[in-house]
Amino acid sequence: MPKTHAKNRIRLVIIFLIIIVAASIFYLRKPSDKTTDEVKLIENLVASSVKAEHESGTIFHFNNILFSLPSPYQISLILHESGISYNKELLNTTNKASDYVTNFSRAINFGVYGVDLGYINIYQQTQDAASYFAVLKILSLDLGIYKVLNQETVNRIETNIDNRDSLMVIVSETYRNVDKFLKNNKREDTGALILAGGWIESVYVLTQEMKNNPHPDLMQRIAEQKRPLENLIKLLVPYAENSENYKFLIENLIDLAYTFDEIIEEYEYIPSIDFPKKKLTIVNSKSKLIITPKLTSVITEKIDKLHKFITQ
Amino acid sequence: MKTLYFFILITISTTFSSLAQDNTLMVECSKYLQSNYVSDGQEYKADLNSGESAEFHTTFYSGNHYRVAGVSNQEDSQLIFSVYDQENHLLFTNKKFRSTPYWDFEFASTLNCTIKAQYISKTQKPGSILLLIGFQQ
Repeated sequence: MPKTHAKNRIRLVIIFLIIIVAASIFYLRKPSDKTTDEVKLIENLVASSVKAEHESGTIFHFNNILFSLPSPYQISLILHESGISYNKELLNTTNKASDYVTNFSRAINFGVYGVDLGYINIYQQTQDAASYFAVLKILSLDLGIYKVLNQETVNRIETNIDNRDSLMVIVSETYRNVDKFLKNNKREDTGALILAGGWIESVYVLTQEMKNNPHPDLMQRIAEQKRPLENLIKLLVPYAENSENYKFLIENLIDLAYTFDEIIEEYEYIPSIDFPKKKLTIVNSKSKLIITPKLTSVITEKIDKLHKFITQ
Repeated sequence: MKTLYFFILITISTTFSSLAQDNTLMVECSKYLQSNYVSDGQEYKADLNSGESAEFHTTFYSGNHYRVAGVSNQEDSQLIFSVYDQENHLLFTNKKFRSTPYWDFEFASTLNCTIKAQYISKTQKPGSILLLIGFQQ
């Protein structure tokens, strides 16, 4: 009799395990369900920027709309190419890293320090790179993404710490692998926070430099952040109820988006030219953003407030 | 009991096979963004049925040289990717170039674009697609 009980138990455990494995696979393959309200909210946001689907025969899937942000490296490159000199004072100090104890602050500051490392890298300030990289390693452990920042990657980064071009490629690849790891592990909220931290930090550096070097080109670059900001909000909105921090962050980003909405956009479509042999298309369409110095200073203030909130 | 063990083995191997396919997609797509290109740090992946498309919204800065690369994980499939401007004008489609897996772009002005990636399978099998965006150093 006890043998039969034991067998039954083993069977029950195995059946339970099968259910768990099957459910996990089903969950991993299935796009996450959202509540009706949440979907409506996001759909409204999406509707504001997405044109109607014109192609016949295709099926429109909300879950298949993805929003991207330009690489934060690009802003650092813009600053460097504009002849603006290196300013370490603008970066988030590494000694603050131990104060970040929540998943929210760790993830968002992983994005911040990543941009700082990119900025240091663009300006080839190798003496500062090591401490920023060390902080990223610690935060990756805390965030459970150390598998991506594994020994091989660490070695590659450390070997190329003074090689600007190689380091830029390796760090960007690492960020892409972090993004992939988080998406595969259903941690898109952490991924969105890393992107948010990166975006806020890069725009913070840009606006602070604008204060010191008021140049129309930099003002234009600030204005160009209008659509990336909209995309960032769409990425974050599904997690608005995660915590008060998420809510505060999203509310302030939406408030900032209202300011960006005052930028006047002019657009002229001009046909593109293809160069098949080079596998290249030159896109000739012209877009102009009209931003006033007053609007720029309001954006600077709002970014400053957000920056304090995430790095304090 | 043997059947149960067999079933567990099959389900576990299916999970690993799916993860391995994800890695294959990344390796295949990364081939087109070699050392000259810096990734934007994100991967754009979607699981689609044949005929369905996914949309990717992005901003391209003026003065940069970009590369868009896209692959799918089914042998008998094609990935058609097209780039539209903010007024839905078609700027590029790889349909015109034998569904080439990558293409480069230069922008006269900073533009907000939508990349539509359509997955087509001859045998109507569902599949995964992956798009990567990089810019030249």
